[in-house]
Amino acid sequence: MAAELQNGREKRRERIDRGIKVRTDGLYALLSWREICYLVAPRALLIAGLLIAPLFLPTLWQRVFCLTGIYTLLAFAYDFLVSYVGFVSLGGALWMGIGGYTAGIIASEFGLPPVLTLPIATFLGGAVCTLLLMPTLRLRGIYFAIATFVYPFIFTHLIEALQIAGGTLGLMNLPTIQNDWVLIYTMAVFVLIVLFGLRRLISEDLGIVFRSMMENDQAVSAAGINIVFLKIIGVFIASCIGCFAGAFLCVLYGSVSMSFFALDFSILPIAATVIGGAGTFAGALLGAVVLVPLTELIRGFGSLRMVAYSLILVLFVALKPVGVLPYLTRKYEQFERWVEV
Amino acid sequence: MDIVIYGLINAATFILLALGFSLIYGVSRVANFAHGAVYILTGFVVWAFLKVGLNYPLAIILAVGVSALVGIGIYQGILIRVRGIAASEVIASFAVGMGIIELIKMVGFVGSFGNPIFVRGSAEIAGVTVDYQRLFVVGAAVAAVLFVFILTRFTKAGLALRGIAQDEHAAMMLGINSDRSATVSLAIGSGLAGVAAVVLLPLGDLYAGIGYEALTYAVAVSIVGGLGSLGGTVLASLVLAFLQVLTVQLLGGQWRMLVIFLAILVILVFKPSGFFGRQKELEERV
Amino acid sequence: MATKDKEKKQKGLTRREFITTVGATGMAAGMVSAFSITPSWGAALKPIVYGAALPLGDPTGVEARQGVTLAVEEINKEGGIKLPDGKHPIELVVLDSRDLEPGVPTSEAIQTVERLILSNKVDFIVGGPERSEAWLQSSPLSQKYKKIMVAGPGCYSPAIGDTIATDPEGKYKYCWNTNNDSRSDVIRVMPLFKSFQEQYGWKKFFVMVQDVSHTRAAGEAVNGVLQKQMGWESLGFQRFPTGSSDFSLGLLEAKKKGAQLIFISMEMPQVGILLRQWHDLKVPALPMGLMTAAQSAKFWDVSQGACEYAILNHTFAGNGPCKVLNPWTERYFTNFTKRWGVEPGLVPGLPSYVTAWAIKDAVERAGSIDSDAVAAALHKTDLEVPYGRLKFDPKRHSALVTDDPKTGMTTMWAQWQSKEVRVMGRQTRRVCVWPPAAATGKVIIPDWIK
Repeated sequence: MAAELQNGREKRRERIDRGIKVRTDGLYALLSWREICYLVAPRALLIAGLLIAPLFLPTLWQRVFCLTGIYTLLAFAYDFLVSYVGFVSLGGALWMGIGGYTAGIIASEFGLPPVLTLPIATFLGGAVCTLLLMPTLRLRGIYFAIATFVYPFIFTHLIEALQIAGGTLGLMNLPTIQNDWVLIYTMAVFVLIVLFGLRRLISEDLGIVFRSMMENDQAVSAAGINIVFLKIIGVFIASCIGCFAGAFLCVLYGSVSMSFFALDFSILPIAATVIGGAGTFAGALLGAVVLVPLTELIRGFGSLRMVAYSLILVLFVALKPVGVLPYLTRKYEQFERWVEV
Repeated sequence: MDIVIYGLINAATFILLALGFSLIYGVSRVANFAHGAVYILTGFVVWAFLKVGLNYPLAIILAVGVSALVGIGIYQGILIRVRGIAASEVIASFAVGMGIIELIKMVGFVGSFGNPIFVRGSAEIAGVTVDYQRLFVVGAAVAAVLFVFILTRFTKAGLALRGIAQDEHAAMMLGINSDRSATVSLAIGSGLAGVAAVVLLPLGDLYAGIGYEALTYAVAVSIVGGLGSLGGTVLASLVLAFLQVLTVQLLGGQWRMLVIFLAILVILVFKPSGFFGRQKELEERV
Repeated sequence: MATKDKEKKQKGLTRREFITTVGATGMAAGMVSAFSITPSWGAALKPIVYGAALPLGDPTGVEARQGVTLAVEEINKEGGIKLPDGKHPIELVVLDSRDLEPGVPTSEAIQTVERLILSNKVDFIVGGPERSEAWLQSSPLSQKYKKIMVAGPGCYSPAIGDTIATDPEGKYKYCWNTNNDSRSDVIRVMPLFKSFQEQYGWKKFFVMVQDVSHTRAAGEAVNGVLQKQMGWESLGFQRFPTGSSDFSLGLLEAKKKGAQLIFISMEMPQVGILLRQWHDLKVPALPMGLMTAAQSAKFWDVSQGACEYAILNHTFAGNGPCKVLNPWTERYFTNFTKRWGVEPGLVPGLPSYVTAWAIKDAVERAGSIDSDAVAAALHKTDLEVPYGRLKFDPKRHSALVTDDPKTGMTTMWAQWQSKEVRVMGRQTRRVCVWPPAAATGKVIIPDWIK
């Protein structure tokens, strides 16, 4: 609260909830259309935006939309793990790679169409990732982070050294979804399901237990709840989301290769979450929606793009760690005014 | 016999790359993911000094000084603001590292660049030919380890660092300034990265991507050895180096990187704090 | 009660300053593009758009861009591409595909190509992505959008020709390749191996290759040629993952077992370490093969001469100093050096250059920029180019290699020698030693190798 002299009197800046916010906090929100709109508008805008935007986008930007969706899903998974399960995941690449290769291998070995490979790869991939990460779930968070960082390299070198799963050339000519609209709406719908599903989840019992586990895991453990099992569930959920993203990319271009384990897939979701605001999922979405098209726009810059990118990330992390969404939320729900001291 | 000699040289390389990183983490609990960036930046700084006409020894000394300053700058400018929040520290330091490496590329350092080796020629050691530069590498590694050992055991500043590393609150109560210790550790750690760069990079071409590779090795060795432990870093370097060399000899070159990563995984499963990690194993388990 | 005028500022920036900083950074980053677009040269006719997706963060990508830009400038200086309605200038769009950077997914490269097609509305893709794997994964786009896509720079893996040959009139109708490939190059240099055998009695070789598609293919081809066809003894075959930085054991093993030839195929920059170490360890075997970093004109200085005696595969004649095959060979070399201040030498400069001219030739013969017409015209290409003659294999859609500049592409192997020679008006230490049509000197084997 900055205190300043204004008009010779001392004033102080104060933030209070908007009137409409107060009125909509309880059941009484249902009493008036205006209040319902206030509550529903942001969500409705989001849903409408995601569902209608593809109709207006030129073809290139439809592709970008799909890629944004992929990074958004990775960001959701990261956000969920870091804010509710208590793990920092440096391994978006792991999910992309496992999901993509599972889908690719299933498609090339068994010839299944994308409508089957997508769900299979999602859950099978999720299970595989969880199994891979299980040894670290008993330990402190940093070991999980290191494991997620290291696994992509292991897989890359395994594939390279053993020349399996297509080796360095990867698997190509896999079945894709021919209809662009189906592709894009599958992604849009899945993003919405995950977003609202996760937000729902954290208000359910499971979510509450997760949050207490983050606060004080010894206490939760003392209450008789097996926290390792909880963590397994958390990691499984996140991995399924991430693996869907990987499987989707495989279906999008009809190919999968070692580059699915690229570092970029680990970094950008983190950046998106940091910039958008961790903990709210919508923040991660916002971050991804800003970063991915921005990356596309300034593609011509080469390394300057990466430098600007790092700079923005550093600025956000160091100076404004809460992110953009909480700021916007505050603006929406509260207003500021000067009051006399 | 070549396995022994080249295993040792490999170990010396790892020690040089990892020592600074491990030291920084041990003292300030900040994982400095910009370590690799400082490493390669120093290489280009040396190149720039040479271009301007300084003689080699002077260029090297100045470059190491620059690397220490960069380390201080990174800490005071950015890391100090996010100290304590693990996720933010990792992201911030990695972003800084990435920024530096991409900046190097952007400025135009793409293509054939190299720093000259100190002395041309080679020597025969126990029947194995070793070039002089690699002997310098081993020498530098030994010197670095001795330096850190003496520093942390016998100098007041070093003891302060160890105090902070052991128990931050107790040390603060004794009047040791945590931020200053962290700054010092970052200066020394980055300076060590600079020393590594000065002696290792002339072995090949200079290109920005080396920053990422160096970071990977630093992290790998530090984890296996135990973050913050000098003995652990040395032991882990030896173990990993020989593991790598033996694997290449017996199984073939394609496994050389994989064996390092698998070692990390094995350590994570069986002894997460590393060889001599200071964190007791009990604390590691939830 | 004492009041302060201003409260102590909170640690860090105030909100306003923060927004300003971020906004300024964002605006700076979003400023208008650094696409390299050569301006239309005054003609009123609609420009024909060339697109290239090159890894500009890598020296090979930079040279590829230099090659294609030079070609476009030369063509535009003459007015452009001649169509029935007049001369159309060429507009060149080069985007960074980042496909050679570690940590970057191939989807970036594919996105770049798609962006060129959809957003920049290019008529032809004249190069990129460089990595064979990335190019192959982008190739479905040529069929989807009916655009001619030429693999020029990089793209050295036989897998490309093999893939195109599976369906050259259908799926890969618009995919073309102005390159040869690593496998055929090794087969073609067999007479040089034979000369080593006859002159010095060599019979033992060691292979060290990087673990990517085209380098592995080269290594396997060498095994096939030397071992199976010529009866040499293979002392070892080592694959190095991309990013390996230590080659001591491989070199020592080669030295101990008495190898006389070390065949190397590596495009990663660490090959500089390999050559320096070969020199310092005094391994009595001749290094030969594709070593991209060592092919740069500056490498002698950078490595302080450690590369002396190494024979490098420059892939095409004219990609470095060689005997003048036709007037264009010299013109390319001189113009490139004059325009960019550095000699060409890394592999991708020349194929990018040739692709630009080849498309021009095909378009002019087809009389239109329609992809089907141009594809048909490409089949009939018979163009004199700096590396000999450009003709396409009907099945693989790749340049025919004959080592005779009058009938096809001529390859080039050059050795670093300490004594400079004068080639194409410049002093150089890179002496072309194979094929005879392009050679400017003979292979020098130092005494300590014989």
